[in-house]
Amino acid sequence: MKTYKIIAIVMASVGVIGIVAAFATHGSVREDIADTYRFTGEEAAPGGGGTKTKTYASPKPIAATAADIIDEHKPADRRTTEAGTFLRYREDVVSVVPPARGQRGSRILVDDEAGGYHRNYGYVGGFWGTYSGPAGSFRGGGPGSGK
Amino acid sequence: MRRVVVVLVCLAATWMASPAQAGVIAPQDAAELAQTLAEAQEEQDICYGWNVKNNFDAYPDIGSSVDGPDTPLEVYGERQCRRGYIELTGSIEYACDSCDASDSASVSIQSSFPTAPTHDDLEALGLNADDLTGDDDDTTLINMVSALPLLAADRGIAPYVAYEPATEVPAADHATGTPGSDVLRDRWPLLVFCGLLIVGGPGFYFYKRYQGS
Repeated sequence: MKTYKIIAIVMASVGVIGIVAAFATHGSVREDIADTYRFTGEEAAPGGGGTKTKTYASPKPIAATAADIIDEHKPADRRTTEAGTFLRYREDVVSVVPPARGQRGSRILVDDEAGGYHRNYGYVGGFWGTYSGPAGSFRGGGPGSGK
Repeated sequence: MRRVVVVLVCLAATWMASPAQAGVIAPQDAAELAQTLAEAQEEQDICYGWNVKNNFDAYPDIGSSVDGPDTPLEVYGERQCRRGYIELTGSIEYACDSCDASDSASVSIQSSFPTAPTHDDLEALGLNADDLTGDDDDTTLINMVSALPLLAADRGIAPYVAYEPATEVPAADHATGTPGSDVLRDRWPLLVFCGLLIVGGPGFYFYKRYQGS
């Protein structure tokens, strides 16, 4: 077999293996948070939805915790507010918020998309979707919609 | 009671600012932003403000927790700011169509606190000044300014502003837009590289074969 034929086969094979590996080894943000942070419990889904909220504790402050999560999983959209950082993924919403009174670090809440929008409506409403709350405006439209 | 007064002052300042000024942030959003900062000031006893100049609008983006939108933060001589202040400053420069230069933007954080948050803290949150020249310039600027009380608390300068999850949401309101694939977002450089290998392999084969024939 000629050398260039072998090189061509190797190139194409590495490409195929790389794509398969990229998808097969990519964990969801939900899984990575469960693996990385201390699980502290579950809460009823906001708005009576089906998927319960999972809560975790991080020893780091809010911005550092959010930065760690963003480093591993780039969100489709993000909202940083005075009370927390909110990250939107395809199926999950991650909220990094202050710890309980008297504790250090930060608290991480993982919801599905509907639950996360409901829970954080006061912060992400109008940015990630419709908002008819007080003095509200429609600004967003979600990822990719532009201004 | 004091919070109510601060909010009313912000709303009155917005109403009286006629015609409404606008830079990157729409007037209504600037008023909401100032109100949010006023509430943070109430909880943290720190004055917050923003002052971002530009070369495309008659008005810069200016506002504060003290006087609402359209008024720069007066940090000296103000009774409210005795404890200290944190202000986002910056500039947005759009290049002319015939110029070689590209659009640019920069931000920094001015503060009376020696351990105040910095521009790097904003970048760690994915809030980059370059995004101020993009389509989501208003959202980026609002996020940057909104982050100031959070970053101050992270630095131990003040307590966190309380996180208040929503209890009731209008039935008609919902998230819009569809986030794309998380895998593609995280690993697109690798996937593009692998795609080039898959296309390049056969291409290389036929190229060498053509050369040899």
